[in-house]
Amino acid sequence: MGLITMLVLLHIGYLWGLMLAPNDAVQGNMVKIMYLHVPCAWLSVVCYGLTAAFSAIYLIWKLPVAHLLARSTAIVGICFTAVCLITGSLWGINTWGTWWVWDARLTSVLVLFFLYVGFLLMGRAFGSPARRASSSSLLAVVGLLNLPIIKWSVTWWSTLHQGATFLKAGGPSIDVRMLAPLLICALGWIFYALSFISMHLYATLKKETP
Amino acid sequence: MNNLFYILCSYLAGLTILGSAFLLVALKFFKTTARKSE
Repeated sequence: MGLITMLVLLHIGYLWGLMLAPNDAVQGNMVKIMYLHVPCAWLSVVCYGLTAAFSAIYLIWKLPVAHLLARSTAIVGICFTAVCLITGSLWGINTWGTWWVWDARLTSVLVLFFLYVGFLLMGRAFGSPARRASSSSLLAVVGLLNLPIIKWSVTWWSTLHQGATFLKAGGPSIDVRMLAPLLICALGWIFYALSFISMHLYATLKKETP
Repeated sequence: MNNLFYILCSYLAGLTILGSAFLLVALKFFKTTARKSE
């Protein structure tokens, strides 16, 4: 059911966004990258928040399933972060004239990517399974500090990356004809993440319980 | 034309990463389900 909903939403969102939604007045059709870049950016942050929350639950109550949930969420989160960075670079080379700049938003998202890498590697790195789970969970919780930096990096520092257009005081400044397909695409990717996490968790649980 | 190249590249890269990750997890899921039902 989740898979069908995901496919329907993604088809509607992308057909609407790529075929019917207007181009940007300044960037022209380059704005079409937004329908992939922005949902991935949102979900990379949301997935990290969930990874840290499940890790905190594991650290407090020592529930093994919480750690497995954190790992499943981190795997889908690292995919979203990678896509966000790649599509951002491709957008940047055409609009800014450079693949990469060490501005606060881009750097903090790169740090997020490395936090995911650290969490996933530490979960398999050394010591007993319980120790690996505890150390990686601790890293995930400490890494939570990066999320407000990502959100407000464009406000606190002067960045090449544009400021907030959706979650900001006074409501979204994006045109509703672009916002509607963007939200449908984001909803489709939420269903993707939910299906991904549930399938990965089920497979891991079945593997670990003979 | 130049824009179209970058748009296509981003969708190709993005959908390859997300699509292949999803297929791998789905394969793992269905293999586990099939093994358990044996």
